[in-house]
Amino acid sequence: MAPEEPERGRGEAGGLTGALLEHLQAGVVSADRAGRVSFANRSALGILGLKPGDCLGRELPSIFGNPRELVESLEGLEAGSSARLEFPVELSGGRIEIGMTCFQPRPGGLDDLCTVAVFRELAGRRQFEAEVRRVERLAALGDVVAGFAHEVRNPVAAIQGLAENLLSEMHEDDRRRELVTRVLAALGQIERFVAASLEYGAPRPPRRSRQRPAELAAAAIHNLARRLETRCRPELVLAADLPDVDVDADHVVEALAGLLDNALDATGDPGAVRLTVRPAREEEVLDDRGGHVCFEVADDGPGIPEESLSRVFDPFYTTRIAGTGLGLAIVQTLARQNDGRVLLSSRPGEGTRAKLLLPRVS
Amino acid sequence: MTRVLVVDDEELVAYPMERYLTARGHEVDCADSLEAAMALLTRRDYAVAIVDLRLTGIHGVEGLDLISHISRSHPSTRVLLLSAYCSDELTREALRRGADRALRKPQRLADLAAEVGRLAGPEAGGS
Repeated sequence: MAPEEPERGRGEAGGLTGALLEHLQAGVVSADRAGRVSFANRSALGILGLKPGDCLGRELPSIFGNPRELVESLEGLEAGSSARLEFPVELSGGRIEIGMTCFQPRPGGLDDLCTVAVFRELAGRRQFEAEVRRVERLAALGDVVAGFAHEVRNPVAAIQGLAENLLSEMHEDDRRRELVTRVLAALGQIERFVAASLEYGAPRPPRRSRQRPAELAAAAIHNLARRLETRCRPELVLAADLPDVDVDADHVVEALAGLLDNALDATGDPGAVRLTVRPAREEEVLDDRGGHVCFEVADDGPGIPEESLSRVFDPFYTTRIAGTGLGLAIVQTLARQNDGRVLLSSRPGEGTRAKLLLPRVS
Repeated sequence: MTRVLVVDDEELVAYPMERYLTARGHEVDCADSLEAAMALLTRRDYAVAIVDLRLTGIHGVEGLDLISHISRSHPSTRVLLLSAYCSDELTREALRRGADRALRKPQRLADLAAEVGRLAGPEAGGS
């Protein structure tokens, strides 16, 4: 047998069955009466990062690192019964989460197959958990930022007021007016920063109601267009039969405007930005109970380097000179307020896709 | 001359308002609490009261109570609510209780003075 052949053609899994097993996306492994692996399909090897010769003849739980859940389930398994379980597996590339059904066929079927385990990687679970941690961390940071902004706001307002008094009490020809004017301009910058910090850390509670995705998208593009000097507009692509979403309209329009702003900033050309609204795909929404709608902003800009991608949601992380560094942090806050989610994917040279996922009305 | 009452628990913030309005010919009193404001209102008539929403830290809404009091007991006094935390609901509530205007902090003093002038009406002095 050629060493690179997967564990196929071991009698019981040849022919049509064997071909089917090879093309299944799910991992399938079987163990003989002694509990040793007698078969593993291509997907099983792929998910576990094993070579064909790595698992044959080994005890079945051992190829998953002997997780307690699996050992106990297999011990309790009888002919004709099955068990569903989830457990983590440590691989060289990191930890993955496995969802598995294992069963023992009734005697008389496939002779040597005493135990069969069908499994898949719970896709995106790791990413989802990382996202949950990130959102929690950002929310905690938001409290700190908002508290700070509250404290700063009054003294800033006081200095602003004092400077205004000073300016109005100075003679028209006084050359020092220039200094006070500059003080006021700088204070204006602080105030904008304070306002953004409060929006991120202490947003207005959402007033959610049934909204049409197409109208939200159009409003966001309209808002952006008002600020553009060119007549060029981002392209809007709407899927047919979009369900309504249950959101705060102002929050969503603002969040979309934030994403469109970023895209525009990346390309410099509104025509190179596309906003697509479509039903969310399964892999985009974990624990999806009621279905979501995906607002996807894509640009063909330079993309975001990988080392920045994990930080772009952090408050005050910015690569722009004029930015507050709160844009995406605010988008994230607004999404969370509406039980939504923000996903960002990008590769240098291939542009960026930002997705805002929002719950449809139940 | 217009008599103006400035109600803000932050002297830091009230002082520039007082100074600016005084310089424009208004007669200005300041109160840093609900009680102080009510005491001043029994002694003098004010054309305009500038009322901050929060008079005891970041969760208070005593300004709303003061607005109710003024519109009940001093109906000729025009009320301007000034707050950094003006949500739409709070603004609606303030107007429902009798406020004439609600503005978000921070406001430029020139704009605030213009608003005071409008509320006080054409007979009021100042500029």
